[in-house]
Amino acid sequence: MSRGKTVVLVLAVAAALAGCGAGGSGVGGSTNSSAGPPTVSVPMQSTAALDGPSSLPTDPLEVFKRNVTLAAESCGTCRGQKSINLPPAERTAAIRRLIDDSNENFRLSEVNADAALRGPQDTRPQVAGPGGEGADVTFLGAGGTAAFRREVKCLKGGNFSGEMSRAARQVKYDGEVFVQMPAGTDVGRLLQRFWGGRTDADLAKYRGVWVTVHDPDGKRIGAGMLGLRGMTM
Amino acid sequence: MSLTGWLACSQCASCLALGTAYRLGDQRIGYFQDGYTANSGQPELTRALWKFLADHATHPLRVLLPDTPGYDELDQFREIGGDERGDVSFAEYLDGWPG
Repeated sequence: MSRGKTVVLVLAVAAALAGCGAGGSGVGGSTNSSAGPPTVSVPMQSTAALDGPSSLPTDPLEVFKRNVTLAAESCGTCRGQKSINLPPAERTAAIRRLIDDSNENFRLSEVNADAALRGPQDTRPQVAGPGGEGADVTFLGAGGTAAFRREVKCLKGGNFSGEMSRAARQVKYDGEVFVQMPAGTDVGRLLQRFWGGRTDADLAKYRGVWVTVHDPDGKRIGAGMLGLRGMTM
Repeated sequence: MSLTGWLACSQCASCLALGTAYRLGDQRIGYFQDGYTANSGQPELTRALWKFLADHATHPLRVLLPDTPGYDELDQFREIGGDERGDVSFAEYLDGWPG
C-alpha cells in the first residue's frame, strides 16, 4: 500500500472509531474526535464473511472499511454486546473456562475474559474445548450459525509473530485475535515485526484478521490489522 | 483461551508449530491440533513432523508452550510451515523427501 493511502486510512480509522474506547478499552480510544461510528455497513451476520479469505475484498480500502465495521460491531465498548449473552450460570462457567485454559503463568484476567465473551449483537458466545476445536470463542447467530470468531491469547511478547499466524488460522483468517499482554508492551513494534517479516503476498491471507491487545486491567494498549501493513488502530 | 505448542530444536534454531494444545479432563495436554482438522489427518504436517524428527536426530528437541523456558527464542527460529521471511513452506521442506 502506498504511503499516501496509508495516511488516509490512518486518519479514517481515527475518525471511524472515535466513539469506541469507553473505559480505556475500546478500539481507537486515543482520539477525542466526536465523529460517529463508521458509515460503511457490512452485514454482521453475512455467512460470506466467514468463508475465509477468498470471499473477502482485496482492495485495501474495502478491507479496512470491513474490518473497522466488524471490529466495532463485535466490541463491547463500541456497538457490540454490553454484557455476555448467556444465562448467569453459563456466563460464570464460560469466564472460568477461558481463564482456566489460559497461560498458567500469565492468566487471562476476569475483566478480559468478560470482554472476550462479548460479541456482536444478537449472538451468543460458545467457548471451545476438547471435541470443539476451532476458535476459542465462536459467536453463534440465528440458527446456531457462526457469525463471528475470536481467538484469545495471553502472551508476554515472545514469538508474537508466530502466535498471530497460528491464531489467524484458528479464526479461519476472518475474525479477531484478542491478546492479553503486560502493560507497557510496545504493540506497534510487535506488529511492525509481523508485517516486516512478510511480503504483501504473504499478508494477503491475513486481510480479514485484526488483533486487539489489552493489559490485564482490560485497558486496550494496541490494535492493528494483520493483513494491512502499517494499519494500527 | 488457547496455548499453541511448538516443537523446537535449539541447536538448529528451527521449529514446527504443533497447533493448539487441548487438555483432557485431568488438565494434562491430550493432543495438539493445528486448525480444524486433526493433526494426524493433515498429511503435510504429519510428514513434516517425521522429517523434522529425522533431520534433528540426536538433537535436543523440546515441545514449548508460551512462557516456558526457551519459548521467547522462537522469535529467532526458522519455522517449518511458516510464512515469514526465512521460514520454509511445507512444500519446499518435503520436496523430494522419500519418507
